[in-house]
Amino acid sequence: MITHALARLRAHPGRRFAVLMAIVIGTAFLAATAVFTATSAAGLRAVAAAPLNTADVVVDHDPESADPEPDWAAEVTAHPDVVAATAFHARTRQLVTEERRAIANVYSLAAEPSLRWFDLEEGRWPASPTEVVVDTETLEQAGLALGDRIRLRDTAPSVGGPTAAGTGEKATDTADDGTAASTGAFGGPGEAEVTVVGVTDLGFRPLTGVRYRLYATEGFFAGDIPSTVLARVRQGASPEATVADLNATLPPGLSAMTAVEQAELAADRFAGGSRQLDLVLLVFGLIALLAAGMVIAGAHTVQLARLRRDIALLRLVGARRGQVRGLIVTEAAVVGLLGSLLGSAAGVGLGYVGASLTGLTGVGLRVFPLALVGVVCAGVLTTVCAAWAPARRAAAVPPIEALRAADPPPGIPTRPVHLVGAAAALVGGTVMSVGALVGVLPIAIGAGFLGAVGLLSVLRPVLARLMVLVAPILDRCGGVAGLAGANLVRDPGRAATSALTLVLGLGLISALLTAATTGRATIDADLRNRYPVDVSVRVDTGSISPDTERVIADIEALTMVEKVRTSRTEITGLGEVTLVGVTPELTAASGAPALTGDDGTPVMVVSNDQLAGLGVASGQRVALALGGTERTFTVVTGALATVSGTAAPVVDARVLDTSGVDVDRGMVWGVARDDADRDALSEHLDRVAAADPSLEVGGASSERRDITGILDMMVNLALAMLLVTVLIATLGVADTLGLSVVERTRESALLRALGLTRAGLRGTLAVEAMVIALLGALLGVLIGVPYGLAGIAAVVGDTAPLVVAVPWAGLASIPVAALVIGIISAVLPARRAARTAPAAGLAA
Amino acid sequence: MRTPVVRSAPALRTEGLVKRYGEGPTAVTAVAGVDLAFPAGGFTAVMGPSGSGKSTLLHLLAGLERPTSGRVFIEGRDLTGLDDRGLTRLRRDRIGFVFQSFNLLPALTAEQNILLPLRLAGRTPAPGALKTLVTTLGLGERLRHRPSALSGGQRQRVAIARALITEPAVVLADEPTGALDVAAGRELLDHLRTACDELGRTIVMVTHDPLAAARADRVLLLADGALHGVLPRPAPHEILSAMEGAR
Ligand SMILES: Nc1ncnc2c1ncn2[C@@H]1O[C@H](COP(=O)(O)OP(=O)(O)OP(=O)(O)O)[C@@H](O)[C@H]1O
Ligand SMILES: [Mg+2]
Repeated sequence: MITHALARLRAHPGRRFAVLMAIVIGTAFLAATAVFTATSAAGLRAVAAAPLNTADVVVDHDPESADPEPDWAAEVTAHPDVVAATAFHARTRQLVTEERRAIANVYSLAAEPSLRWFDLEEGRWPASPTEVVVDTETLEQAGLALGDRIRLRDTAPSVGGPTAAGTGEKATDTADDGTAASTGAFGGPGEAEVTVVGVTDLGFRPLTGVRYRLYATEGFFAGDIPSTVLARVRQGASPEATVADLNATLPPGLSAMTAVEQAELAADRFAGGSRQLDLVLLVFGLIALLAAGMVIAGAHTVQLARLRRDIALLRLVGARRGQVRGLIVTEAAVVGLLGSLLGSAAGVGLGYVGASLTGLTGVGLRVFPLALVGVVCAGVLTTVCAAWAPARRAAAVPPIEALRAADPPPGIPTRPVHLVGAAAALVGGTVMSVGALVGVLPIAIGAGFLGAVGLLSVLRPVLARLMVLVAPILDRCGGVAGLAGANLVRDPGRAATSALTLVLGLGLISALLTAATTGRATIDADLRNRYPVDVSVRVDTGSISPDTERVIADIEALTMVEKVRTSRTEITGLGEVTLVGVTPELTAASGAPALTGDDGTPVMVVSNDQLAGLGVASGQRVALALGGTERTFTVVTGALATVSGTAAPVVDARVLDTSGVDVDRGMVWGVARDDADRDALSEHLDRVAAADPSLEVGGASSERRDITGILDMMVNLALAMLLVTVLIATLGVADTLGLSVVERTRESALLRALGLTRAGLRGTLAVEAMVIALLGALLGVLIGVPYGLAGIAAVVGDTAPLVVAVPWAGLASIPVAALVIGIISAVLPARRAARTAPAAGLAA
Repeated sequence: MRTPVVRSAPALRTEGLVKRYGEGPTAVTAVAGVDLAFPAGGFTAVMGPSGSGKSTLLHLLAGLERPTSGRVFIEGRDLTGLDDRGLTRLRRDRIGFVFQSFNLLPALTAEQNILLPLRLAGRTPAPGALKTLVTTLGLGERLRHRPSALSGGQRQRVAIARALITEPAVVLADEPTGALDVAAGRELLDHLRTACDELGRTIVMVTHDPLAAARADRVLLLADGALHGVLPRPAPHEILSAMEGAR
């Protein structure tokens, strides 16, 4: 039988184009996901494990336990099997150059060369505590050169915002343990001047949250108790045995582990974050595959309708239904296999490109052959499943149709499968909504999928009936439109089939647009909540200079800049704090809750620690002495209290003005506009910091940049993916129209003979295509928007309050796009139809 | 050389066959109760005015349509009792078809078209069977061509080859010469005649052409779905006058 399947393929290679393209794209996306995942995970692992490459054993000090001896590294070295050991330190410092001042991490370099985990590109290893090595990326970004001198200053303890975790930062930042705020003076006790003596090219971007990384000798960290010791064992000794020995002999609070285990742990910590991205990619991959399945099912329906006569003939000469079905499905499997192989190959390339764009290809291309086999299987399975129903329907063609010249009956009768589909759509939709509201993602996804499949199976007859409804309207428009309407009604089932792929493609795009817009709005709101103020610049004493204020106010990315009131005062239960007063305008711009209660009670925003210090619950009313007078505040916790990097309670400006305390203008706060270029903003702030060393610059700009950047990237990726689906749907419409043109050759000729112009004939087809596309678009939007909302609601769950945002402009452009799609898909068929000679209709 | 042989059982037989389309006042009775027997190895032509039910009768004989009432027997087997699978197998193994046009699958070569019923049955042709058939029908050079590259006459010969390859009990032909010129039509009838005489096939052929019908062993005349007359081995002019009567 397979020879016959192949014979048909050979005879019509072009016919399978839509099917092949669909499966190529679907599997390419899946394969790209698999390769991207594997490559980036391997890259992440390599990056995370890099600092441990040269060690065999790692000993950690549990920060919760009592401090060990400062030179506890010696206890590790004392083990007979340990041939070398080094204490590992890390400090966070402000890197100060002529041009900028920003946070940098300083890591210790092993004195023992065999324990150093990178080589030098240029220069030499540091020989004293005043010499450092930097990596090429830091060199570039900080505008440094070999031999440059830089100052490293102590940082104020940082509060708020997730602490960036990064390579080698297993050791806690010793400088973060609440050391006093910078004195702001040059050459003070908190400052050291170092020279860049060496440069290393790591070959990857370490996963640190900081932009600048320096490596210094152990002498630089004099006085710090190491939190980690790395050791090498002698050749032939087992790291595991050494670990066991060490754990038995070392004092409590110190625990040993093999470097391999430690590397795994470190890798897992980072992979955890990337796994979520993998999951999202996988879901989009499966959606793409579903889309491909839809296109394939549609293409099969249309093409099998064209082959109806052939199939009837096959049945007439003795082919059983099962044989016909087998023939079609076998053919689909062959195309599916071919497409899946092509797609997987393309996907491997795409995945690698994707991974290298994110800079995670340190260890080169990683492909799990099993995953690719899985992708190919999924591709073939999708093709076969998609072809199954049309094949079944085609195999049911009565053989006698081979002897009839008449057209098959138009329209699609309502079948039990449609009722099942409607039920599935109803149940799936309901369960999905519930799942989304409750925030159970797997249930919502499962139900959503069921609902979608149900909808898709029931949509064809619905669309067909819509076509019939539209025809009289077109008829009233007269002439060309009327002809188009008559053509739609002639085989509404076929028109519906081609519209269906558009419903899917445009529906997915509407869903994605809605989900992305809502998700973006939700994340923005959540970020606003967590990081209400993007920029904070403060001085420790006195007020910010007007010059500095002007420079910040001129930053284009900021919508609202305010020199907030500050006052160093004593508050009962909190001790001496910097109390901040902000205007209602700033509160409003930042999206934070108002600082005056409904009943006029002033609100004081404090940090979590301070709330605990006050011994009250958030939202409780407390009488606090301020400037000698007692006042009642509603005390709440909020992100406003940690904007400046230290815990500083915030009240309304008027409260501060009327309380009789001395008021300075010690801080400038700025709120960024939504579409701000956050890279440029960071750059600006680094320069502000460099211009005046007494300034403490902070804010949440970079966190927001990172989070929204990833979201945007993924949405764009998915949109690009779905646009390709729409392209295929366009091919589907063109295919259908082409088919109807072929079938209508006689009729077209007759119409031409009766006086219809070429342009009129082309217009008929264009109108037909536009109606099909428009109906597809409208249904797509109608279905896609709720789907998108439910989907994003399920994804967000209860991690943040959902902020519904409908992308009106985007949705409005979909029907417009549909009209364009209609016109484009009509171009080729219309040309063919117009070429028909009027005489052809009169020939026998 | 016609040697009419008296055979015991008819290859094909009908009992009170009725086929009605539609319901109520618009109902059309295409076949109105015919009892027929087609002797094995006989060549029967069916004639009648347009709309007299010839094609419908043929469809009923092949089990392509279910009769409204009455029964059809092929080699003694009642078609009305068979399901789709049984009917399909019967058509595949025991019936050959030749129509006016659209006989062949355009994607398959002539040879593949001929062998199709065997392939569908999972059978291989008896050694030499294909060669003999193809030589007899003069298709030797044309086997690798697709139908679009064949003349109308060649296509019909391929169809005959396909109808005969399974060694069927009956060959049903509906206006097989309708789309051919006189010479090609005559040649085609020669082939059918040979199939009947030398291979012992039972042939039922619907035709409008008295010259074609004259090649048959007998001619059945249909009018308004009922049997109007039987002419055993008539000459063309006898057929013409009988047709006038049937109108
Ligand atoms: N599927 C059908 N539905 C309704 N009526 C039908 C159908 N098929 C045939 N008929 C009617 O049955 C009658 C017999 O038709 P049939 O095709 O058998 O005639 P025929 O003798 O083959 O005519 P012709 O010589 O023109 O081919 C006709 O009146 C026709 O309209
Ligand atoms: Mg007929």
